[in-house]
Amino acid sequence: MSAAPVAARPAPAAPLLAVRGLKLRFDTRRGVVRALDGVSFEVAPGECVGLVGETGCGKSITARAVMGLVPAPGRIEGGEIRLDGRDLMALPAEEWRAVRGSQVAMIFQEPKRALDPTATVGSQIVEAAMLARRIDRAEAKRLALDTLRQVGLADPERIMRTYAFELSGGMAQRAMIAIAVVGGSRLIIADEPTSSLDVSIQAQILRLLQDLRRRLGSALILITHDLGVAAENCDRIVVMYAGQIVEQAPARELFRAPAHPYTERLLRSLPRPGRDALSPIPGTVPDLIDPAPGCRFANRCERAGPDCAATPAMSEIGRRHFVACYRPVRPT
Amino acid sequence: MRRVLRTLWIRLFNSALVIAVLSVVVFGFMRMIPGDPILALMGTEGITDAKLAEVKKELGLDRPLYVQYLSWAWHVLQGDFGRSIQNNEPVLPMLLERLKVTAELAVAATILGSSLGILIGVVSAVRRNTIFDSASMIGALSGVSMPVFWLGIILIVGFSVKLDIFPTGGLVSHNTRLVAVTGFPLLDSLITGQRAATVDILKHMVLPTVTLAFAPAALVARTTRASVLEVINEDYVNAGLARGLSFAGVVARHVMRNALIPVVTIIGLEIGVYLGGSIVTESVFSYPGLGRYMMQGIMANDYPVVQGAIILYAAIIVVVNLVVDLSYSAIDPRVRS
Repeated sequence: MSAAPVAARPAPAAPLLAVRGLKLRFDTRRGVVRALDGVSFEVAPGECVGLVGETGCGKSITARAVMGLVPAPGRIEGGEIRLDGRDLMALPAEEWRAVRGSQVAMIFQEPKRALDPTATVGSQIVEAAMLARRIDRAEAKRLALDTLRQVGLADPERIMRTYAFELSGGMAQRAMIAIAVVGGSRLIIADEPTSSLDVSIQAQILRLLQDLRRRLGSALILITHDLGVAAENCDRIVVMYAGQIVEQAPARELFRAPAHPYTERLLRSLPRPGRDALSPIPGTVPDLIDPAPGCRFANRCERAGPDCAATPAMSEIGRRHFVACYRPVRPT
Repeated sequence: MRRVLRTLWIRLFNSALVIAVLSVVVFGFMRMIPGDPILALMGTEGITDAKLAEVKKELGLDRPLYVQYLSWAWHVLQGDFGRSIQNNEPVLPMLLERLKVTAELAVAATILGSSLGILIGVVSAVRRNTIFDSASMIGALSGVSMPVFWLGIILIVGFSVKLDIFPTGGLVSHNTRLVAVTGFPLLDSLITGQRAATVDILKHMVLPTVTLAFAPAALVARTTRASVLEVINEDYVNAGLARGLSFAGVVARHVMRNALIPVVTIIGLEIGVYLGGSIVTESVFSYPGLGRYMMQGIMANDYPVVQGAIILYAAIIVVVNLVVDLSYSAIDPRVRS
């Protein structure tokens, strides 16, 4: 196979979402946790980008930052978040609120906990539609029924009247997806949308997300710790480690030629037929309170050398393939 | 539905049992209190043993205790609470008349205590660790620990004696005429359109209501705050914000309902506290309600009055608790199924 499929999608001129140099800190009793340290990435209209990394690497907090919902005591220290060229962080709180649900929407990890246990599914989807589209209740209800049908829930009239506890995990996640897409957002952020679901349901939900993305033409950020899930669903993958982006590339390119030693180890730790043992990455993620300068993966990296004590810059090593490493893995 | 009915029957049976046991306890305790109802009535001067025995026989107090109890209980079951030893009036109509006065006070205190408590609790939770939060929680702690009678006296000294804003006690001023329709004083004044009387009654209600509501409001505030803080970290709060609700909107539409489930239990339990508190509060404010009536009964060893009042109190508390339990299903859909 040639490089043609990778080059098929030309780099778009105007990204839908552009995150640049995002820095986010948590002031805790133990000290300042630098949860995000200079995170930069873009999402093109209609594109599906996978945000991949281990637990605690900062992928969820990146999503929360884009939503403008950083939990206390988190604080954005620097950088910018642009949606359609508009600097969200410069917006007054009320205008950023209006962006949520109508231009950016979010799907959560545990759908049954993301639904209000004392409110019907219908009331929540109607609420989302009314807020995002500024329509009256009757119209919102029609739209809600239509959207529930679109996410594959049969008998939407009945679903409207149900509560979270009456739904299976898969149905609840479909309902959450309906709440997310009913506002017509052009960017959907799905934070581990299938981690709490049965394996058989996971595939269905991921297929539904892809299907909706194509039909509605919205972009999708798929946050996952599962590189396999990202590879199957995303156009492009962004790999995060300890609050930084270490590599980003089109999905196929990343799988064909991972350049960062961390990505390479992640790929090796994936279970594959014909491979006997998994190969976990030795060592642990560094403490984000006063992290040592230089590459944050160096302490776990088999390729690390003296030059890794300085912070590596992001460099383009292939078409739309970026890596922050002095000693990248060369394709063999 | 069948299960609900079954539960209801079991609850009613348990409630009847509670009241039956209580009736024995009250009956016994009343007779253990030193003092004699007849001496309390007639005085100790110039009364002969023969006369005393005669009156006792007349009132049936010479029979063995268990006979007295069974006779009383049998009559109560038929709705006859006996007559007051003090003034020979039938007890039940008096109890009901006084209860109406207390009920208005208790309802006012419940509304004041619950709404104030919920409001303070929610604001404290939302503005956590601010001066408002610290101040109201210190206030709540003092509210829970302050004796009711003492608060009542402080309020009288401050607002009646010093500032002269509110009357020191009583139901109405002595020159106010009340036309009785239902027996509920405030309601009657509204029905008959006596504006002056309404204002007068309300003025008399303010201090007792505040006294009665203070401790429950404090408890409700603390419970609400804890409950809201727990709920506010739930995913559905974030999900609400993520679909464009404002923080206030999420609190109003999704936090309140979930946070109020434990608060309803507290408010239900508080109704018992209102009734208990009304005994002291009505005595402090000379408020002619059930509490004061019972207090007077205790002072005079008026057995039928005290026994009747306590049975009535118990019945009310049992019914209120039942209503609270049923109200869960209105708030929490998980209980319904």
